[in-house]
Amino acid sequence: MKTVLIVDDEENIRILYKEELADEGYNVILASNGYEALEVLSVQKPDAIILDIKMPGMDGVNLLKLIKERKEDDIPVIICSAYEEYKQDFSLWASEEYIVKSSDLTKMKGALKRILK
Amino acid sequence: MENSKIEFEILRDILKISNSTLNLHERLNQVVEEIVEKMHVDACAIYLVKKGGETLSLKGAVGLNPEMINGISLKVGEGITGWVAAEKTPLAVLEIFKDPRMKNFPGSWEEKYRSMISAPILFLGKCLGVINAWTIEEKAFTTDDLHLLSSIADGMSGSIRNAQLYLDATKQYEELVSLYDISKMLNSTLELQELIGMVTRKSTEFIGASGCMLHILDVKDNLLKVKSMYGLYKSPEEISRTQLRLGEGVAGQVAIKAIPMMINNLPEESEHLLPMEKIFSSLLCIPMTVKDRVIGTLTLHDKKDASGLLVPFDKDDMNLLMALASQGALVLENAWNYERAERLFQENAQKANDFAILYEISNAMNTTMNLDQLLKIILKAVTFGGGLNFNRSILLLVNEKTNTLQGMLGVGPDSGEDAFRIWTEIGSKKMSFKEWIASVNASGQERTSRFDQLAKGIRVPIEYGKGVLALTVLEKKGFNIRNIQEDPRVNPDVLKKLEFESFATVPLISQDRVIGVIVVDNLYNKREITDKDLRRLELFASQAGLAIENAKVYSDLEKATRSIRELQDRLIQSEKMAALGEMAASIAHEIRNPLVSIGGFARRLDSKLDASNPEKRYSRIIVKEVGRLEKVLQEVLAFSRSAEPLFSECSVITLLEEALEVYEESFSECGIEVIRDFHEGVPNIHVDSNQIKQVFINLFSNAQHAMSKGGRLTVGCEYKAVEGEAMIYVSDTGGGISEDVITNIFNPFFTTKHTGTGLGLAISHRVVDMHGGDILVKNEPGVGVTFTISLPARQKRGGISEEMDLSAARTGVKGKEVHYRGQGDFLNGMGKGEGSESIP
Repeated sequence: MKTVLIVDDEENIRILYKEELADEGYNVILASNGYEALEVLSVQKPDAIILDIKMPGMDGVNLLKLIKERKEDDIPVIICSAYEEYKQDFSLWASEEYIVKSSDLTKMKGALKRILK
Repeated sequence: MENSKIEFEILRDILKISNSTLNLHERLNQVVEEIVEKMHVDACAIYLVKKGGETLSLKGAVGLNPEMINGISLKVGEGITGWVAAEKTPLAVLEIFKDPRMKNFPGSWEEKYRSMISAPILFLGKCLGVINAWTIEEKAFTTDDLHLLSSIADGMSGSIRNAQLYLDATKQYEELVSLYDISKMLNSTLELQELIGMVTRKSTEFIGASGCMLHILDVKDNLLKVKSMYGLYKSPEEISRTQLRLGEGVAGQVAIKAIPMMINNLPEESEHLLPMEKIFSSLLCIPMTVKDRVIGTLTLHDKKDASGLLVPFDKDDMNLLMALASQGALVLENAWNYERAERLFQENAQKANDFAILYEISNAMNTTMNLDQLLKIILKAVTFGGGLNFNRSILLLVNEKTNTLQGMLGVGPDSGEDAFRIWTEIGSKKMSFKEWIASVNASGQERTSRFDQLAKGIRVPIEYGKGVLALTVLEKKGFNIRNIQEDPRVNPDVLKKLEFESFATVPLISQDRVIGVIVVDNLYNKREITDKDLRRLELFASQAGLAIENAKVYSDLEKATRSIRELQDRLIQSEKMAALGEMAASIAHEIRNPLVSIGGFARRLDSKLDASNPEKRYSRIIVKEVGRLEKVLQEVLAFSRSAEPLFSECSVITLLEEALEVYEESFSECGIEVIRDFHEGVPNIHVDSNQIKQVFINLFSNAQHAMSKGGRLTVGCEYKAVEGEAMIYVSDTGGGISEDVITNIFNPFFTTKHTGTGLGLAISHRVVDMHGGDILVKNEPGVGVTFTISLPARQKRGGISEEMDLSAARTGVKGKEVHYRGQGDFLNGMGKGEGSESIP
């Protein structure tokens, strides 16, 4: 069973993602900002990370940088943001996928499936 | 004894008569009567020697024709009487007609008599006159008779002498009085012409001449010019010569020699005479001098005595006339000086007035920098009564681009009545130029006149042979055209419509360049345009040229300022839009998260509900409506995105595929077949991929909407090598767009859909425009619509960001090379201390 770390400051979103992905058969860990995510990462290594960008505390961008600067930068990251216009920048340098947040999670699920196959 | 008794009686009576209070004439008559009675003769007469001692004149007579009294004039030495006077010796003649000395005056009745006795009237050895006595019968007068007559003559001499002295004194007194009167009159006026007339008239009357002519020496051309005449001629036109050279004719002689000339026996002495002078029998010409300088001559002709008989001029006349002439000359000189002073004063006053008006006009011109208003002021100045005083004027400016003169404004009345009305209006109000301009500006009573309209229609090429207007520009000088018909320089076509008959032009010069032309005329009062008018106009035009240039420079400056202001306004507007966009974006983002939750859970709910469950309908609605909201958000965000696109290299086909992917599901739901017509060799385009993809998405969205009941969507892409453009077309079979809709499709917020913001095509248009491309719509009613987008295949704009993009791509994921658009709080925060670059 693959483990997915979800980092998003919106609780409802975290719940939605967790339930949807659990239904798909993933083991889901939740974090509401960058610091919490780092805590999780210090004890275990998920197979993929779904990351929001704008968050209080440590945001997605800084977290992404820290992850990539560490040697264990092989964890694929899917950015899932309400901001569509930065998709190109992020896809260039950081993440495997950049998905604009939508109530329709088909794309996110598709991306996860592609990365973790 | 008898004789001595008679002699005694006669002498007693003569003495009585001589000492009586009777005047000379009556005394002489009584004497001759006494002699006839007492000496038993048939006739007696007394001649008196005239002043100067040269002639004898019959003064009193019995037995001679009384009409001859004062009429017979004898030279001393002429006739028997003259002989007696000359010889101062008494004489008795037995038969007078046998005497060789006899000179008969026909009609004097002397021929009736045979014998004669004559004695001179002597006073201190000087002959004052002669007494004659005649008998019808031949009579041998005795020495006693001669002695008696001589005694009578002696007895009379004292009385005659006294009488003559008295007459002289009276005459001198009268002359002095007259001279005084004349000089008083001459000094009473300074009117030159009146004075000259007075001098000629008074001289004529005073001397008793028939007429007088006054020549004035014109120092400019040294010609003697007739200034006044009195008597025979009424006007200068009647004489053949109104001017004489120095030395020519009597007046010319007198003027050159500065001495008087008296000619009494014309025309014998005719050497220096002109034909016009020969018609006279006597002339007296006097130089008029002031401080030894001859200023003119005074010529009298044909002196007549009281009975109207021609008499010669004498020395007294000459002296008198000289006195009069010197007086006259002085007065004339004074009058001249006065006139000259006055003329100078008037000229100065006129000049001062000119300058005052020009000053006022230039002030008025400086009050405005508005070119139209300035042109109006200039032409008003030209036509203003106290200003340059022309009836009408037109202002033309040089158009350098077309090399033509262009009518800008015409000022002037349309008709004579109009002119009269305006002039009386201004005249009655006595307005100054300033007040007039102010009143015209304030009342706005300016109506466009026909003249103005015609003037504005004037177009003249600036070439030789195209008339005076063009010539004024080419030759840089004004022209005064007296007759439009006869002047070959005029191009009559141009000015005929404006009824010009004679006119003047003047160039408007600024910085050595002709910038325009002013044309003036005096159609209504027909006043001739003088060279002085033209000079004033030129002076004015140089001022006006400067003012126009200033106004032009000012207007250019104003235009520049205005465009800067507009630019500023646009900048502010775009900043406002950017701020608005930012706000819209942040709101949209805030809404997006809750929408994801709502929609997400609704989908979960929906998937868990059985199709038979009535709640399933509710969950469907929620899912659908959230989907709609998310689409709206997407559009708003696309529109509010910053104007500057973020460029990168991308494949058109990839972008198209990505966009198609968004609508794949919808297309299949609606039964839309998608046909891809992607040609090979389409190079990468340099665009903001998000924006361009959004354009494609919008087009697909419209296509799907148009073909909601199925159809065929053709998406194509090819490379136009010649234009260096990638061409993308999206074609549907949705039946096309109606005509009234198609004109609006690129307008923001225009939509025919029941859902959507209406921004789609407006955004698409703007995006393509910003990429230097083009979007065209081809509408086939009943068939469908084809949108064609052409984009430059290599976009040079944003070259710097291209470099960055490439370096970023090469160095992969290193954070330092990250660059993005600085929008949103988190991004600003992200850049801090990280050494990342931000390109605004």
